[in-house]
Amino acid sequence: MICAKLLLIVTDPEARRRVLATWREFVIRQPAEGRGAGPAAGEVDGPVAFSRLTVREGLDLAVFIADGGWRREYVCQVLAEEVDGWCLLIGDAPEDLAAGLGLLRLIVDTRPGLVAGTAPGSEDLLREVLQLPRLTPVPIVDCEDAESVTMVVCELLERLAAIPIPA
Amino acid sequence: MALRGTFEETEPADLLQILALGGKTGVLAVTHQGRASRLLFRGGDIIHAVDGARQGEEVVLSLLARRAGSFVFTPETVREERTIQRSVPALLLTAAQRMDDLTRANGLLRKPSARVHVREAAAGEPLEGLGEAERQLLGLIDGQRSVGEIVAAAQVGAAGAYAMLAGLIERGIVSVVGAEEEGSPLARASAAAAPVPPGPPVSARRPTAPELREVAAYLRQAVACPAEGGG
Repeated sequence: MICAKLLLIVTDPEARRRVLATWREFVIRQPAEGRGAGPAAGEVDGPVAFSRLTVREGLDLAVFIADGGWRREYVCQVLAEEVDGWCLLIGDAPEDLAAGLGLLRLIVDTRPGLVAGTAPGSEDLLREVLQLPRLTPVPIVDCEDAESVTMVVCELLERLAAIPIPA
Repeated sequence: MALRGTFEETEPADLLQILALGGKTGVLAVTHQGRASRLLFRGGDIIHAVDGARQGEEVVLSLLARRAGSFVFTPETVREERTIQRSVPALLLTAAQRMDDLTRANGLLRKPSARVHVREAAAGEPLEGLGEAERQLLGLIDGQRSVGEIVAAAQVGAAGAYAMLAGLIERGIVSVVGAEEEGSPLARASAAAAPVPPGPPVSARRPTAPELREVAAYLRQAVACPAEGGG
């Protein structure tokens, strides 16, 4: 079985709860495929939530949702090394920006990923604080909208698909 | 202007991150129960730390584990020689790893089958400050004996042995061997999910570009056309 593994790191606790609830609701709504396989979800060690979706028999998608607290940086880094790609979702509060910058420095070299925002209108702020190139696209996610959350996951998948797998 | 406060209000890790991100230069003086530590910052990096006779990274790592104490950061020119080479994020990471080990160590009482080993960095090093009982306990740690076996063989009783083990782990001398048994955070997360589809929880190989695009196409279709009869 092949499993595409993605890590979503959400710095703002409330945004994290919303993303988690939205994503889980989306997963639960999917019909079970294959041999009885279906959506599954679990909480592990507090900082990391996990959700698994069977796309078809033999192909799964696993999404890990973690927060950005400093104690979890270790967890985020370990996870970032194991997953296929990561998405860092950052709010516009100072603690979000500090956590986002710290995490970005830790995980940017581990796997490909993208930066997104959870606060409307924060694109320029995120680019400036995180020292991203001026034209870097920074999608803003509506944490309570399944389409919005799903689209950022799709964006990440497309980016990963465009990167050759090292031999 | 000096920055002052207590670790009850501001956790040590948050304080160090603030000073690092701000690129501060100066001296952070920490006092707790009559003990004083000094951390020297230059351009946001901790270049030196001293606590009595102890110096270097260990002072910073001990500080990060504290839950009480007061601090004052005073901006001033720092001319001391650099003795700490690693960045603040790297030190935070090490402290988090130790905390992770300590958390797992606290669970050892309930899991005597777990194993511990002496960290490579500590193996062969002169272990200053260890008592005779701790050295004896360390001699029992060979990476093969279980925690239950080590505790049973120790001469200091179960409670004493566990306390000493926790102390050795906290100091970074000993590490819990759990990865092989319990799996990585990813594997543990997968294992905790229920019901888990048949087959291995995670794949050995990375998905190919067509597989990733297939997943993306599935998601786009699913979100555009919600499943029939779904929740």
